Amino acid sequence: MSIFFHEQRYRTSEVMAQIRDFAVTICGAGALGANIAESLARSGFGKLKVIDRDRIEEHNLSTQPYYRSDIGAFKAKMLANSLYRALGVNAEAQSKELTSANAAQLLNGTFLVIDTFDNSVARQAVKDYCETAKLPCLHVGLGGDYGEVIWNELYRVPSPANDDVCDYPLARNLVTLTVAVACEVMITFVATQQRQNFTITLRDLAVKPFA
Amino acid sequence: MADIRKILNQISAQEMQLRDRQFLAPCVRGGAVKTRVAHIIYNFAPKPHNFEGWGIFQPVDEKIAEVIDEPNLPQMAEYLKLLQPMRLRLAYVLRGKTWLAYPVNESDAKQRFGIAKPVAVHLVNDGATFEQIIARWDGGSWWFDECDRRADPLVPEQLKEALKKVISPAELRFKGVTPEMRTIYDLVAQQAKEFAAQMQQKRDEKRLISALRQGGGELREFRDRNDHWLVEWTTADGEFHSSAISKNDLTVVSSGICLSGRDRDFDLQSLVGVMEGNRD
Repeated sequence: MSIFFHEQRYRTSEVMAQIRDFAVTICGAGALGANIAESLARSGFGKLKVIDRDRIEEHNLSTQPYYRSDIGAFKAKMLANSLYRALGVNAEAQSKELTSANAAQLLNGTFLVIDTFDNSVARQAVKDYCETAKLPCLHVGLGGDYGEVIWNELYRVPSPANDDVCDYPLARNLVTLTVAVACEVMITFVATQQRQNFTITLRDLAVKPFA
Repeated sequence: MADIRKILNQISAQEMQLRDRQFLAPCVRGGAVKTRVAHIIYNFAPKPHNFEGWGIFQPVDEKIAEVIDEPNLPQMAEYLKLLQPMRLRLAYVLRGKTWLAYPVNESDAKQRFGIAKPVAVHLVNDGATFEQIIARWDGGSWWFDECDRRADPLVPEQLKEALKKVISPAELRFKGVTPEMRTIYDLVAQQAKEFAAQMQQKRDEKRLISALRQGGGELREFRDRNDHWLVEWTTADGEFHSSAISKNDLTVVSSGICLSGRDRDFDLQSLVGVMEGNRD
């Protein structure tokens, strides 16, 4: 029995085979990137690359899948180690800053790019490169009580104001909801080539009384 | 019968190929790295010579192998998977990334490895004192694999708390404490300078209290003054005294009253009687 037994029952063997060999590069290993990487690995994606230059800080622990003992280590490396330990998935970790100069080298060989960077400069570099290289790219972002999952062709890089700061309001439930939507959009893309775009707020959670 | 010349030629050819081969190995500072060709172990000094860690090495000549890359976790895991694992608890750093550790289960260790004693574990890049780890035995050394995720994280906390409170190994008590935990606690306690100092202070205090009590006095406070203690104490009726007492044998260095230079004829115990007699 595969560790993806339940997922396979839900998705079908054909889709599972597709996602296993589908190379995805995740730009950013923070609240969105790290949780997306974990979700994708646990859903059966077998070829993952993570790019993030940052190190783990104490305030990351509420929204990101790291441990207290990881504080001070590179996010990308710890994420790759933890995916390997948990699932045997050999993800590639690049603890580097992605710039327009090295985007081609870092994104080489990937079928899909997921952009979760926390600053507009890096997001712009990803957008520009993917546009030029005609590489499918999904941007996943958060702002206040709002999340979005937008494909490159519709995506607009936000203003650089308030970029790359760590002091902002962020609800874990909004993070996990956005991550779930993004991962579902990716699997739909791999299976059907359909590109869905979504905006998300916590109010989109429809909780209805059972009666 | 095998042709010895043929075998030697084969080995020689494989040795020649060794130069072109890369191999993965762990290395302690000042140690050698090993690889095996045709069942023969080859030892190399690492370049740089002070390298410590996991490396991918390329032989430079028959004596030196250069570090050319850092292996990733899956490569290290593949190497370690070939070695026998054992659960150990970390005590303290011996040198560099080498820690002293003790088996979590003595009986298991004896049955599988024939030992139940403190061992040196190399290349510990995670974990802290009292934490449970998995290390692997290559027949000559123990190599750190990972922190044991099955271990109860509260145990190290409780052991650290006990250490902070200077609880002696014999008095160590908490739910689920095992003989192995007592042993590792004892190892750490023997080593911890702060603990040793505090333990010494407790022992000194006990010694002073006991000496004064035998004479009928009571300790109030004492301070360390290099070769002697300044002891503040009271007689049975509450009279206060400060005396300088030798650390060696509790003889009186300075009694606080005039003993005509005969202070050293008395010790703390007898001094209590002298003081009370002097008052009478």
